[in-house]
Amino acid sequence: MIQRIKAYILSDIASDADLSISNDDDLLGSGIVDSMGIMKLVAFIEDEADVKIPPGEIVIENFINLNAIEQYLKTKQD
Amino acid sequence: MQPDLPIYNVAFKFAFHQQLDATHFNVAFNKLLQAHQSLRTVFVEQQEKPVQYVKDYQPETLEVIDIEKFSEAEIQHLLENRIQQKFDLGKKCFDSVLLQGKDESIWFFNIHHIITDAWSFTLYFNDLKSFYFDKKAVNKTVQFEDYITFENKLDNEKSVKHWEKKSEPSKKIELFPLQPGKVSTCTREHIDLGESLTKRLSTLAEHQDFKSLTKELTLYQLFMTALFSVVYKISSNSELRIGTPLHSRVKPEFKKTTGLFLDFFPVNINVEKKESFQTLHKKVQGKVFDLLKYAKPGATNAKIRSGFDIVLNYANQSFGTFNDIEFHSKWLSNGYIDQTDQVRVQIHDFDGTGKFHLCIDFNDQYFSTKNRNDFITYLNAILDELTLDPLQDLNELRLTQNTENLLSYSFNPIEGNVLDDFLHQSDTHPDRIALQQGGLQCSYKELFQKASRVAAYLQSIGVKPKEKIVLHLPRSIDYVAALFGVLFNNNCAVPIPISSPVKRVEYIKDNTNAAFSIDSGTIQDIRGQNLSGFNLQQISSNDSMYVIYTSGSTGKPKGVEISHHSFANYIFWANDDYLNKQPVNSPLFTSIGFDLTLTSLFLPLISGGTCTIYPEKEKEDIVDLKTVFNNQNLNLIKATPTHLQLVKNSLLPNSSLKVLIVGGEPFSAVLATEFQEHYGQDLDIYNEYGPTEATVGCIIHQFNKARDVSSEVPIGKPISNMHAVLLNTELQPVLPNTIGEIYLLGDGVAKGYLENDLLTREKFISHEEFPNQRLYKTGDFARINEQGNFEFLGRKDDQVKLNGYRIELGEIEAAVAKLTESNQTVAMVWDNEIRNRTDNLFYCTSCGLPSNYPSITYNEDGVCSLCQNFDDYQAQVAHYFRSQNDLKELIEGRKRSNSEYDCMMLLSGGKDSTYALAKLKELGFRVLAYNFDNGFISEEALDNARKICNDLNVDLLIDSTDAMNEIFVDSLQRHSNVCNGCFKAIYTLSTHVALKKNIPVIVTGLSRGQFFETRLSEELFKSNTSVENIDEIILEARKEYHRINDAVSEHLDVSIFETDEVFEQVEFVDFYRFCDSSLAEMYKYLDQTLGWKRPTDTGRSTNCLINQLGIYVHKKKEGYSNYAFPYSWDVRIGHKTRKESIEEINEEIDEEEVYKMMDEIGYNFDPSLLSKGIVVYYTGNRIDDEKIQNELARLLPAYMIPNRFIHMEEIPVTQNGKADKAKLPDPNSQFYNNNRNTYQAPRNDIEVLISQIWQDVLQIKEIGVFDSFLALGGNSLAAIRITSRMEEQLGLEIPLRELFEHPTIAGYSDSIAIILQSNLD
Repeated sequence: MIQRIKAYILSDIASDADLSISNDDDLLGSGIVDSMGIMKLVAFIEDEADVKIPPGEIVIENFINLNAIEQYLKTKQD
Repeated sequence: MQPDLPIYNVAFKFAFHQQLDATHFNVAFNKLLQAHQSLRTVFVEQQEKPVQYVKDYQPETLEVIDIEKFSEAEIQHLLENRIQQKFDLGKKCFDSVLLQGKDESIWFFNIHHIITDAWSFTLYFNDLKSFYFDKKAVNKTVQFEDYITFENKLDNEKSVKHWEKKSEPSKKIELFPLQPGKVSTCTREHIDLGESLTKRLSTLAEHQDFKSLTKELTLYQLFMTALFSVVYKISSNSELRIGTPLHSRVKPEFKKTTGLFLDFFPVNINVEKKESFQTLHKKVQGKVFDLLKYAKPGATNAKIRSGFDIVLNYANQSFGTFNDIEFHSKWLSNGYIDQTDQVRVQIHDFDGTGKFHLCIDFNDQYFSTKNRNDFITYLNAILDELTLDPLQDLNELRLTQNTENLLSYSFNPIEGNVLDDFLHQSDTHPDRIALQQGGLQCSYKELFQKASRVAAYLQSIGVKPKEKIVLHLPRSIDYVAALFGVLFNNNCAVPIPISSPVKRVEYIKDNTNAAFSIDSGTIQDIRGQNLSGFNLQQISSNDSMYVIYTSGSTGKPKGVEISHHSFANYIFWANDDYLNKQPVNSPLFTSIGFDLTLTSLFLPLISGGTCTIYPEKEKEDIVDLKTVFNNQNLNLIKATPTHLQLVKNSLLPNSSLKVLIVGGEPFSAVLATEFQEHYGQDLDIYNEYGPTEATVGCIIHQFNKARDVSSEVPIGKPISNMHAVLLNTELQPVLPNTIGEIYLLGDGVAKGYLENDLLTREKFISHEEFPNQRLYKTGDFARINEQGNFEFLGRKDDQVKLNGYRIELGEIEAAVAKLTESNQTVAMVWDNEIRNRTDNLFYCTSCGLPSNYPSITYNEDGVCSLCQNFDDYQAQVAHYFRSQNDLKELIEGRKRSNSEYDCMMLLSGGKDSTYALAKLKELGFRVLAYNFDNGFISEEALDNARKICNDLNVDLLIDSTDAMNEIFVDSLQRHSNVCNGCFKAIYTLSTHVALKKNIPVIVTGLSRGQFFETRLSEELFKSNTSVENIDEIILEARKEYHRINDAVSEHLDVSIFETDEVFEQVEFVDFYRFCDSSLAEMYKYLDQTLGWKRPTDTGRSTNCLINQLGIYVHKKKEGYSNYAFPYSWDVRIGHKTRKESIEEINEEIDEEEVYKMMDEIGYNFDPSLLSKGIVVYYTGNRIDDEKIQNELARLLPAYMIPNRFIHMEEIPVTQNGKADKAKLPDPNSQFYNNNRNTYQAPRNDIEVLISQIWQDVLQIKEIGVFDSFLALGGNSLAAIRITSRMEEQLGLEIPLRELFEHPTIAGYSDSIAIILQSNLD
């Protein structure tokens, strides 16, 4: 899942297509992804993981890096 | 798009704090052009569609202007001029210049929005910087082309669906009223949010409850919350929508691409009760997440864009640095805004200062200077409040000191009651005339005595004080005396006008539980009685003085109970204010059941003046206003705007008149001005507002021609001891200058509704702001204008919906009034599906006539009324028809030896004319076949004609005209079909041919059914007219027919018809008058003898393709097929079977084909416009519908533009002097035809008779007396029918031509009157 997300970030939303992203890179703070991009990512995750992410859970803690996203998705799938 | 305005120019100026190297700059600029396709993009038109392409790079020299000697103002002027420049998009879509000063450079860059957005500017700027400082810099920008490729491949289906749902129309959010003025211009205001506010916003953005994914996003959401709050506070709407642009550079590679990447999306928020900034912010957050999720390129469209007119644009990019050269940027306004946008709030920090800069474009049509200032004040205040106390309730939030002022009031209750004052007057000057009625006069003393007798009578029959007494009397001295008598006994008066329907009177008597009812009989009774004295009853201020009934929404009138104190408060104020306690002389001429009337009755009697009574005329309540207004003894008149409207053309100078009080309806400034100008400046005109529930009048305004610039006279300010506040639905005061519902409080507020506690509690409410007060909820909307005057904006009931949009009728009325200088306009929404039934139709069991044919009835055997009537005159009809021998004789008799032909046959190629041609040939005549190609004749039909003529050895002439499109359109407008116009073209052109070729007879192939459609009517046969006479009448009708002005006369040569000669030289003969073959016989003959084939390429029974367009339009407009009638006659006469007729009537219509043909002939037709829309009735200047619509488009949103305009001579009036909506004509009846005139209902008996006959014959409702018979589609047959009926009704002989010479009901009526007169003489 995380690999798919990473691929999507690189192909579709990253500020620079030539970046490499590690799992603990701050996606938002470092400017890899902008606000619009993160919402595209949310939409992507909703589709891919077949989950619904309510506005209340779209918080920085859940999306700060790929690890956080993975962690968050685990709680969703439990 | 408004291509003639520079709305879409996006311009920045970059002011550098030192001089740049112009040569370097030029090189850098050229590299920029080379690097960015967007700057080389142009748009050229190909096949009427703009096509975008990228030009090859061509070096160009950037313009440099030396500004060393320029003043600041000159520089500004130079830039302003350049911003306004219109681009020729085919050549270049930008303009740029470098201004070189001594120690500065200014780079101006103006780009058409079609190729750029704000993001692109930062890219241009940064690239330019690289090129300027680093000569080796190369650009590797991804170009817009690639983006287009990407966009085209993008799957955005989910997004499209998402936004589709959000684009439902919503109510227009009105911030400030639309002011007619320059369209599309805007004023830009710049606001720097101070350091402290910026800091507080940043702090709030870090707060757990507000924080979002990124700080940028949080700030964006915070600004959106603030804007929603401002819009909510100003508009008092809870359903809000604002739009926001997002650039769609979703893919990483496009982040560096310049071009237009902007899409607008709506954000909908529903503000609820108990909404705090924080809860609102949560909603905004959720919506913004959705927005970002679904904001995919191509997911929005023009419809979505048109759904909002308040825009928030948050741009977080900055230009960065220009190496170490300091500069500042400014986004320059082009002075224009999308016409439909109210306001665009742009928030950015292009210079990266860390402080927010707000740049707000205010549409000048909505924002005066004051409105702009208010908006900015509120926005600042909201941002303050939001950052200081985000938990506070939005509804409770007070934004300005002004609101506090609105809530403050002071009352100083009056003492006494009107009776005291009357008694004082009657004591002081008993012999003065109190009442005057025609030749009758009644002094104060006499009035006192008469009233005393009434009071004594009431006491004698045991009526107790405070009981209710109904006064059901005509306006008269007796009425006034009875009223005072009732008051002497401290009873509560319930006046009911004499003209009230019995049921209403009964209801009121019952509802008031009246102790007694005084009518004319009672007055007689009192006169005959020997009454002793009476005791003047003590009145306390809360005792009820009167109950007046107003119409209720439930249909039951509501009785409004008013105390002595309330009434005294009003009338004492009026006495002080209107004539400064001078004796008032006023007329009593309005209904006694109307509280507005009380002013005219009581003001004279408490001030020592005279009340002149004008009794009701017969049953009508409205008297001769002319007499009232021209009475030189009056100094004060109170009337409604409608009264003024009715009397304004009959006014004489009247120097005694000092005060004119107008109330009851919105009062147009145009009308007020007319009266002011007529009577001069000495006349004080007052607009008095007040529902019955707040006693006669409670908000008042003295009209001032110079100051009152709105289209309606303001209603002004509350009178003493009354207070008015504007509240929103949450009962919170609205902001100054914004709309709210009027709530009234103070001494004039009624006690309530009689016997209706529920309604009383609903309408008379308490409010914590106003302790110990009852507020009356008026249902009226108003705004307080800049002068502090209330402006009436319409009733709550006027807010109606159409297609989901809320329609503000008052706004439409005001706009139309302004344009047409109409004193009275009434706007209404109408929705009446036209009878267009094709399901469940019943067909006459005899002739097959369908039940959607107008005013048709069937007997128990299912036989239609046409068939039943036909039985009565069938014998006469038989006489009209002749034999083939007669035809032979006729043509033989007219044979000309010097002519090549004996007759000309009008050959369509269809079965009827083909058969007729063959028969003529059989009879041995030399025939010329005349075929008319109207441009839509089936190829097979033409081939048929050619083949038949060839086989029969007959000469064929195929004629045509290039005016057919115009003729078709005219025919569709007049007759809702194409055939009438086509026939007329054929008759006209074939007559020309006949004249030229010296042919004495033209033979038509009209079926017998068609005779009844075009020549014959039952009137002709019923009245026993001889056949010779019928022929004469038809010939007369034919002459008039050719002399009518229409598209044929306009486009074809009709001079030959000017004299009667042509009708002698060329005779028209209908073949089937002389031939009685059945359809079967004909087909057999055609098939076996001639080898005629029914054309198959029309897919229909006709050989003319455009025929189905006519049928379609006729069915849509008139609700039935135009063939229903002639086919029924074919059946009746035996030339068609019922089954065949029904089948042909119901032939399928190919709509696609129909609309293609409409395009081809240039006929615009939208059937949806026939069933519903907005109609406006107006007086004043009549303006072409299309022109009004265009003008209104500048003033109103598209969904509020009426699709029906009916110009009226006058608007009908109810008894109370208000517009009588029930009597307005049906919107569609007027729309069938573009040529309808100003509507005026019939005015006398003859006009009524004529109008009934016309409506019946023409099948059109509500024909105005100025409408033209010809324009209504009247033809010669209709003329014959009308004339015959008129003759029958009046027992007169009326020449047919009268109708053509006087083609309006008004004119025809006059000519009939002359004939009537000459018959009497």
